Amino acid sequence: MAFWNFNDFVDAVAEKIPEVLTDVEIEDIRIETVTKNNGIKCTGLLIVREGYNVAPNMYMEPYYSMYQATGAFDNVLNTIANDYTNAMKQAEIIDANTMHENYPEKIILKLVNTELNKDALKNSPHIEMNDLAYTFRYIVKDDSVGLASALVTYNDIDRWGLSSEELFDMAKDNTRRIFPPVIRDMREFIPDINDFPFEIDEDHELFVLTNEKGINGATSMIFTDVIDKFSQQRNNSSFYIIPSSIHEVLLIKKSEGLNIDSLADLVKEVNRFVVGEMDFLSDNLYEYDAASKEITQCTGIEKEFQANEELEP
Amino acid sequence: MTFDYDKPVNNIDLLKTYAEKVQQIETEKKDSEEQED
Repeated sequence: MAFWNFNDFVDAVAEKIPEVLTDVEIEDIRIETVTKNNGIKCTGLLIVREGYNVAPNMYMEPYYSMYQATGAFDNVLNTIANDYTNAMKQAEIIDANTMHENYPEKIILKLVNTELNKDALKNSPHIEMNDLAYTFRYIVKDDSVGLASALVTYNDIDRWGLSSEELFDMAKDNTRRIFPPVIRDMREFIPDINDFPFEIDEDHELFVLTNEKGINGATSMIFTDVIDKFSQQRNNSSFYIIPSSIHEVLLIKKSEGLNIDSLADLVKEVNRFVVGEMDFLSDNLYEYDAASKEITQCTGIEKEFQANEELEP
Repeated sequence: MTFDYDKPVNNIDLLKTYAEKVQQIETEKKDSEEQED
């Protein structure tokens, strides 16, 4: 059978979805190009429900992959309908006006790459830290399944009468409360680490800084008091910080035996070959200094990563 | 207002890669030092 191309597929979904969502009073259906994290463009289907002024972005790319793999358009359509229904359950408790009433409890931070998100940052308050930026997101719903959130814009904070700095303090407290930062041994994340063909040197153990929910965990870099406490438990060690993804960063103790140039190259190499575009955080190595209790970008790195190098399996 | 829905991620492969590569850096350095000696 002949498969639809992507645009025809999206048009077909937009046309047929009302036939599946029979119990939903649909006011409008729109197809929009949405810029996601790191400037990645996605095609979103917006199904606006009568009486609601919030709607989830239903991204069509994964559904098109599903359609390509199975050819079963009706099944994919039903999946989209189910996902939409579940997403709307998250939104039923709020509307856009509620957002402007309960924002003090609902604003959180999200750490992103500044350059790759520069277009979104033009309209959004943010606090920059070297090549990274703390953005603000409004929590629509947060539960064990995931996080529904919207980017806070300058229009929002104008309405609230807040500066970026005031918003930052509020969001930092909320982030600590809703997404408690954690530092864990790498072994806790890798169940079969004992099967590794080598032993990890005690001086170069990797620790994962993230949050208890594992979503946007690199944001926990803002909590230097947590890193400081961790440092004190390890003879006031300083650490290199590897920006592995937006969901976590890695800490490795600074020691004479560790080659910073090789480590810096490694970050670029893994980013290029392993990290998904949407999850990329930074190509730059950071460090936490136990004396100053500050995080800075590493300087004085000499060797440059060669883009044509292959990542060994 | 539109919103995005994010689910918890499982980055085990990424973490494994870093664990292996950091150890390789260490091993290469030790080998290099032994050759110099």
